[in-house]
Amino acid sequence: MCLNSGMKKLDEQELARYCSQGDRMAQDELYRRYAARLETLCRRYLGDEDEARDLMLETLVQTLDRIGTYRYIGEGSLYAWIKRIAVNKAINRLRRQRWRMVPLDPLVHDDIPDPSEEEMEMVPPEKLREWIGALPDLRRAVFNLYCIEGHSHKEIAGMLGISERGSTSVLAKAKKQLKEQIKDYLKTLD
Amino acid sequence: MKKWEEIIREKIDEPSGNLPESVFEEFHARLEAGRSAAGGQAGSRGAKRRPLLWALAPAAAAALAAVLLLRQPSAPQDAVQVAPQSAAPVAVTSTPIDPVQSIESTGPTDPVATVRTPRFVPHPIVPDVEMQQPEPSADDTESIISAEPAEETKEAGPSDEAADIITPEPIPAVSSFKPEGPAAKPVTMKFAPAAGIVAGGGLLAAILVPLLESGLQMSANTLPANDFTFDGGRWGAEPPDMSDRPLGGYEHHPALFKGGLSVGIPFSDRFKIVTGLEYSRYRSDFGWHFSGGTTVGEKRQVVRYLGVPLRLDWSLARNHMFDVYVGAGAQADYCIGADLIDSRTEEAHRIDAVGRDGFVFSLLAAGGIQVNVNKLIGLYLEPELVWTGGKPTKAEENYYPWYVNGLLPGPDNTKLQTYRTEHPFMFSVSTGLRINLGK
Repeated sequence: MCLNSGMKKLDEQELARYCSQGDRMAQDELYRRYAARLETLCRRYLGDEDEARDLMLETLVQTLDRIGTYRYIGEGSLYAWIKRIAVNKAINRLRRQRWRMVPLDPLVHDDIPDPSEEEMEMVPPEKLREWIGALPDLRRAVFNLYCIEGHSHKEIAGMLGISERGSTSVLAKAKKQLKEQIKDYLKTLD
Repeated sequence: MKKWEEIIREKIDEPSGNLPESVFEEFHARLEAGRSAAGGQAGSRGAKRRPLLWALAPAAAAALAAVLLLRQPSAPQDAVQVAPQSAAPVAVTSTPIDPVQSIESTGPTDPVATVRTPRFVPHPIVPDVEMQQPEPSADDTESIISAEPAEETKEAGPSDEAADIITPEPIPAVSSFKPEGPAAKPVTMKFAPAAGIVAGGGLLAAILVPLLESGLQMSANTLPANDFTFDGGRWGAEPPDMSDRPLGGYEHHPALFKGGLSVGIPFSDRFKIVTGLEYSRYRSDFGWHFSGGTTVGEKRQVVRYLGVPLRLDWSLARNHMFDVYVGAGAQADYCIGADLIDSRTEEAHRIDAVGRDGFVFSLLAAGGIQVNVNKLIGLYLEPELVWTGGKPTKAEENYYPWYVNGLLPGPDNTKLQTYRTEHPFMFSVSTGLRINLGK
């Protein structure tokens, strides 16, 4: 039997168990299953490709280090657990390494209408990733945590060390910036 | 209809593409590095660990163990009493779920009980309930009951519980030990942080005052000896033992210290209101001499103010540790005391100068940096420009030095002369503790 194909058929619980036993093929399988998605997530938070790749590898290594503490609670729980590790690491990097220049622009008044479902279908995912990655650090982090991960402003404030009011304000700016880019892109298609 | 954010979430969650093979190789390399660092296990990157924290963890555990072992119970019945064991050690499992340890019986009449993990925190014994405990002795290997309420033993299966509990005396119907409830919660030290803040601010002030006073020379305002004029109307009371006409003197305002306790109240991501209490200490040296060329007197004046600033700060840049800001506002100061010290004899006179000049108002412009100790507290250092209104009038400026700022009896009530009155527009450095509300 080909061991590789056997590994591919493992469910998350068994995969985690083999990984915790130090099975190298299981560890490779873990990489094959989740590395690409994880790197995409890391790029959403860090923006830079090299940093995102470094964070992804760091996350996988730490995941294997702690795999013994993982508890299977359903399908998809392994990736959710790995994703949480990656997000926490990304937030810590942002908090540790970056000064946040408080923007000097006046308070945001968002008068741009939200893009419709049809308009959003015309925007390719690569463009969305590129625009999100190009957001300033804080806006990118708040947008990811609120709109993608579903955290509340209170939770985001605690994670990033800002006020709730600040989180709301930063999210509004991030949304406005993205909507402007979406509108500009849609104009080029016309 | 889906919101545009939901559509983004769906679209970008998929991976952008396959990763190059080099990334897979790097993954292997990091795993190998982790294994070799951890001695063959799939370890993490050791370089990221902080050795000091790992050294502190066993130290903290040892300290906690020492406290638990050495802690003397308030009453003898409070503690779980362990009977001296027989020579044969009892192997026990370390399963945290099961507090009941195994019991080995060394004989039909000499059961040996191991240490029981108490399930409840015992309250002080009720005086009318006696727990008759056997006195432990060298030959006594009987166990002593642990802190189990009577209800607990009733609820548990008699075959499970009774087998583990061997009591030399019958248990009272009403147990003196009660399960831990809300009343047993430890008292929270709510005042400790506030006390710490006040103590910290006072300590900071106590450390900085002598440092600044000894070295820092903010300015020297030494007047030429003949700048004192005699306008005829300001002699007032004659100084004692004076036969010569006064020629002049000097004023010297060397050092200014400001420190305080501040509260920052943010109302947006960039702006916050800052207020609090600020202590400022003005030192001035005065001397005068007369026509005979003799320096008559030299006095040192120390005036203390307590002020309340009100400022609007604008945060320029910050991260979780530092905050750089600028601000503007106003401050009201109130004199809380003054001392007049003879520079030769060091004899000090505490002068009743409280509220001497009423409230002294200033306008402020400050820039600063705040180092955040934690979410709530930060240490700040603020160079600031201050303009104080109400410069003394010409007549008041020409007071004679033996009035020494009006603190000696004189015909008028002259204003306290300090560095601030001589330099209404001045530069100072303020430092202290700030409590960050709303974070």
